[in-house]
Amino acid sequence: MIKKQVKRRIAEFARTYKAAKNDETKLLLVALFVEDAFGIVLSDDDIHEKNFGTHHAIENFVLEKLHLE
Amino acid sequence: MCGICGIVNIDDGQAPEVETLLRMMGRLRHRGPDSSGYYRDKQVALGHTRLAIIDLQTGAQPLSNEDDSVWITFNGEIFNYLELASELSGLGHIFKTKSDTEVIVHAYEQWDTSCFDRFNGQWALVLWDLKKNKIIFSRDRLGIRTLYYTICNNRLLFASEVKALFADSSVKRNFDPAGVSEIFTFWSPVAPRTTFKDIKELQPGHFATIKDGIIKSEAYWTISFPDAGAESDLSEKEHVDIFRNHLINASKLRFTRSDVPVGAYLSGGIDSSITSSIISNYTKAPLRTFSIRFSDSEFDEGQYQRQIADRLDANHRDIAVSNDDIGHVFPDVIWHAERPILRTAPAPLFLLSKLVRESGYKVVVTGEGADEIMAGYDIYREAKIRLFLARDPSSKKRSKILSKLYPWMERAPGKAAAFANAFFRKGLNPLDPGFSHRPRWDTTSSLNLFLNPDFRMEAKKTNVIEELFSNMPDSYDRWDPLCKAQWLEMVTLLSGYILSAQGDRMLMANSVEGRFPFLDCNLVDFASQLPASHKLLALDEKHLLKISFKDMIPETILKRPKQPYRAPDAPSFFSGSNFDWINDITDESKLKNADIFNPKAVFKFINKCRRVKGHKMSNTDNMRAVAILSTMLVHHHYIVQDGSGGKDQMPAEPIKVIDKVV
Repeated sequence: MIKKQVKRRIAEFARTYKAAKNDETKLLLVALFVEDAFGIVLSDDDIHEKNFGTHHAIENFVLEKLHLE
Repeated sequence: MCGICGIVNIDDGQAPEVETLLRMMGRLRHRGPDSSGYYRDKQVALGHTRLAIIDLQTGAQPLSNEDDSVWITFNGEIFNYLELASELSGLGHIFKTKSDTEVIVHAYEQWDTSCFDRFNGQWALVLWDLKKNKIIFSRDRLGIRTLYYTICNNRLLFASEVKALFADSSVKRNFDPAGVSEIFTFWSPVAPRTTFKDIKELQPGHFATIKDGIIKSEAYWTISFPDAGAESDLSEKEHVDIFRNHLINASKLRFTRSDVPVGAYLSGGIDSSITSSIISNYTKAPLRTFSIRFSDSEFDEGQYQRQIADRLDANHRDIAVSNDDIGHVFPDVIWHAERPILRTAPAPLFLLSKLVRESGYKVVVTGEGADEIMAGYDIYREAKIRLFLARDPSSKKRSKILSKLYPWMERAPGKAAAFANAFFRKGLNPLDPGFSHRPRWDTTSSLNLFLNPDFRMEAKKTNVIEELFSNMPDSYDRWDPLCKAQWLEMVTLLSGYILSAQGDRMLMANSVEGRFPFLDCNLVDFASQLPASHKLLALDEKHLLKISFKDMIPETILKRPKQPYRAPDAPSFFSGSNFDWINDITDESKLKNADIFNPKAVFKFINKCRRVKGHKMSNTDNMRAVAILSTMLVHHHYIVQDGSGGKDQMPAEPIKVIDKVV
């Protein structure tokens, strides 16, 4: 998957799901999406607001995990 | 929509009997109350009961090609018949009628059995090709229309419904334990198997040729998905444009290709709201809508139905269904369904089609199929969450996502976290080909505990799950998990339950044809190519459908939590009237004679249902109550009695007769 596709998928997700600040269940929804869409398996430590609290954070996290940053 | 039936001599015996054929046609009169007809020669008899919808003047059947060498009896609609007729006229074919039926005959002459690839529609049909001395059966891609057959005394009998096969008293009427096992696992028999021993059903997307007594069945279409990662790479916006276009065309085609007025079902959910809105926005005809209301507020969606009907300025009618109403009509429902069922949901639909017919309508467009092709069912969300749990079984965080499941249920996982955690973590093996459906199958299979030991042993001889796995396409393992779940749902439940027990049978019981825009072949093929995230985005079901039509549907409908169509189960039988039919079929001697269930276990369970009046029972117990009662009703209607339901009658007049024997 190339960087452009990753960004597009996350932007599409972001149009439906609001940011996951202060909401544990929403963080899990982001985790579900990230694992599904990009084939990344997350640890409990990864499922954290610092990674999934904003769409920008999700993008950075995924790009880093896929070594596309 | 109509009823079809017939007799084919396999050897050179006597010509098919007219009396038997007329009895078969009479049993299909509810499918075709407008007129009827038959063709007969020394080898073959084709019967037809007609619900006249297209070409009211000259569309009577059976009909033939120019030189009477190909005859047809046909149930259904070919929605692209005008385009095909134009193409075939250009190729030199001469049409005597304006019907879609005749288009099939000429298309077969022109393209042989590859003609089925060109049809956009819903059909079950039988062609008799005299030149090639060959019979051809065909059924639409997803099994909207049905076609059953059996071989008895060197004759092949076929019909739209099994009860018409039983009109020939030499056809044996017995349960197929493996068919019952499939129902008590998947909710439905899986074609070619049926509830009855030696009665077969042509599989969806198949045609069969019968020549010299040999039946050869062949798929012309199968449900398929791309390998994971090879799905369409277009953006969401590009998919929205194509999807919207397909669904608008599919809805218009189904609304306008009719010579009688077409109504629409309105459930209050997204799917039927969208198809009704398309009809209202893109056609000039007045919109007539029909809905089910429930006295029990847990099931009622009236406020949403009214909201859409008002917005579309539809001429709207609804029917209020009480628990007692369901209990009253249930024996009739089962006579029409011809199989045990596990939920009462078909019963209100039986009452709804009655309302449609009484309102002067005989065609309705409905939202069926959207949940299958766009991943709307809770089982897809459940599977996704279970897969999420399976990826890190030791996670301390992941279980909390279970609260997102089944919010509409009285005992939702969010309200019973410990139970949900234990239940949904059972059998978390992502390599299991039936991963998505395993909890449902395990729960449903508990019904087998009520079977008597002999019947259970017979049923166990066929491992229905392994058999299903052995019929999976070679590419199955390479699909996205969501596509695998969609395949399982479409193969086990769509044709046999949603479209048949709950669809065709409940509509045709009152002579009403259903049309399903979401099952348009172009739309289905397009949807199967979509990436999983455009269908189920995280847990947002039918994602692309919602964003494609957000301009047509109010936010209150678009954003309301998914509520599956359900009806009260056990309370329908035990909370109000004391139904004689329940006392009758659960009588100990009847249970013993039926030899299906363990009488003591059933007796104890029914007493429990009576004690609590069907209330506060578990999901499984509700299912058990419906399964036991419906199985005993099938036994009563079709094994003890002859399948006529006490309703044997002549087919409707006028009767078109082409008899080459007399």
